[in-house]
Amino acid sequence: MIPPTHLRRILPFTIGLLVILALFTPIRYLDWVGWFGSLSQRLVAPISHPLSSLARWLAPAGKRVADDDAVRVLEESLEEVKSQMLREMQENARLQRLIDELNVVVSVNPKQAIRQVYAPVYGSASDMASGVLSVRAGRREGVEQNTVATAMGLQLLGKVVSVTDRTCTVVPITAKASGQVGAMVMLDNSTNGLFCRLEPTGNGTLRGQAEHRRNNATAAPIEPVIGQAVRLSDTDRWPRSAQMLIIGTVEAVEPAPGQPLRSVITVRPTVADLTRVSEVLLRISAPGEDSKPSSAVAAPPSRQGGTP
Amino acid sequence: MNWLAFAAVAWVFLGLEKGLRDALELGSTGASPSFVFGLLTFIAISAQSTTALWAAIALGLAMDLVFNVPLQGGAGTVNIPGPHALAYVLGTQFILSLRGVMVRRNPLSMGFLALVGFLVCSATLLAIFTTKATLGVPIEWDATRKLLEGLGSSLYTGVLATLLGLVLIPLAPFLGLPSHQQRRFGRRA
Repeated sequence: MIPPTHLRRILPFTIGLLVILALFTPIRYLDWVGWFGSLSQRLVAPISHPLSSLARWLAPAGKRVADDDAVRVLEESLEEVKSQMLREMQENARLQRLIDELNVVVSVNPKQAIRQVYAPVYGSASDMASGVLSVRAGRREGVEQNTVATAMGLQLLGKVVSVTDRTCTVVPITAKASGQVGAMVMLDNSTNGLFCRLEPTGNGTLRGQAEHRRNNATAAPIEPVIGQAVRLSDTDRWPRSAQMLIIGTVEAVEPAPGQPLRSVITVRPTVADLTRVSEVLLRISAPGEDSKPSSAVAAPPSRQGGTP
Repeated sequence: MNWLAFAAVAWVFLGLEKGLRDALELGSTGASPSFVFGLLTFIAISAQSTTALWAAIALGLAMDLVFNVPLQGGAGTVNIPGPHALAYVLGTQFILSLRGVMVRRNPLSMGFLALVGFLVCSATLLAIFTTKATLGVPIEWDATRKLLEGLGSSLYTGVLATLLGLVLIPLAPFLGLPSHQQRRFGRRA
């Protein structure tokens, strides 16, 4: 046991060390702390996970449309098929352009295997940015950085930003930390929608200016309409298997400040609060698959269990 | 103070903080209560000043390890040791300077001290992370929003600490801290 007088003497030195670590140490030299962080998170998980599950059960994320189980299953199947179809169409259009440009024959593997892993949320990952989720699945389950997470149905939830052996951290698309996301307002069942770049507002919605386009036949401007579906279309920052997943529906359309002919849309996810989901579905691609131009075929999901 | 009992209670409170933080958030305001600071307030009221400051460092470092700091644009997360520890030390020091004029056995005193202590703590965290963001560290940081969140969280932590006081004050002997309720019924020396 250290005598109290010694504790008093070393206190100023400890505080000085903390000041250096907190303020002046570049983050590239703090990688070693991650191991202790991971260990600490595993230690508190037995307490935080049951509490988090209970709280999320009492106040679930909820879906904005009331439905029973049968309708929900049908809706999810419909969304799965729709997403696959749109992804195929987008992919076909891209490949067609590629073929036209290069004038070569491209052989395409149309079967991209995606393993889906259900994993429970066991707490909040950060107290500095609200909504960042700690999820109980990690490298052992094949999760890696940039793995896509979805919520109920094919609602895009977010992306894995850091991963340890047994846990990972998911930043939802509605969290400020996730940054901008490219999206498409779906005008019909084709991929000829209006592009937009959406930014999280901090209140569970995303907002951004929609592309200005006119109808070729009538020259009338094509405006987004409240209720239209908005899907992910951001090949620069998101894996190919995530394209055309649902971001949400258009909740409000208003003229852009200073540019009255352009529209600013507000998009709300189909899950009322993405930060309150109790379980996420991680879509794990086979290594290197996401770099291949191919369409997605989803395998049956497996359920993640055990203590982290 | 019995450090082993403290570690056990701290473990439970860290679990509460991690598990219930999102669930207890006030809508989308980002304001949520801190269980860990409630515990620290109780220790700062009851323990010797050096003990309280070491407890602040221990709990702060645990918070730094359990909670990550997201980087800009979804580029990952990082554990930065120190910000919470320093913030808790300053918050504790503020409580230590005020505890002499408070009725220590009253849960309302604990609520008030938690409120003002957490304000100091939030201001310190704000200063540290704003400095880091200004120095070019690519952390996701919105100072104005965090200031408002800090104010809301302080009020919320004050309310929670009042309730925690009802649980923690009887737990004082288990933590090896002087029980302020003993004197009401015990024989005075």
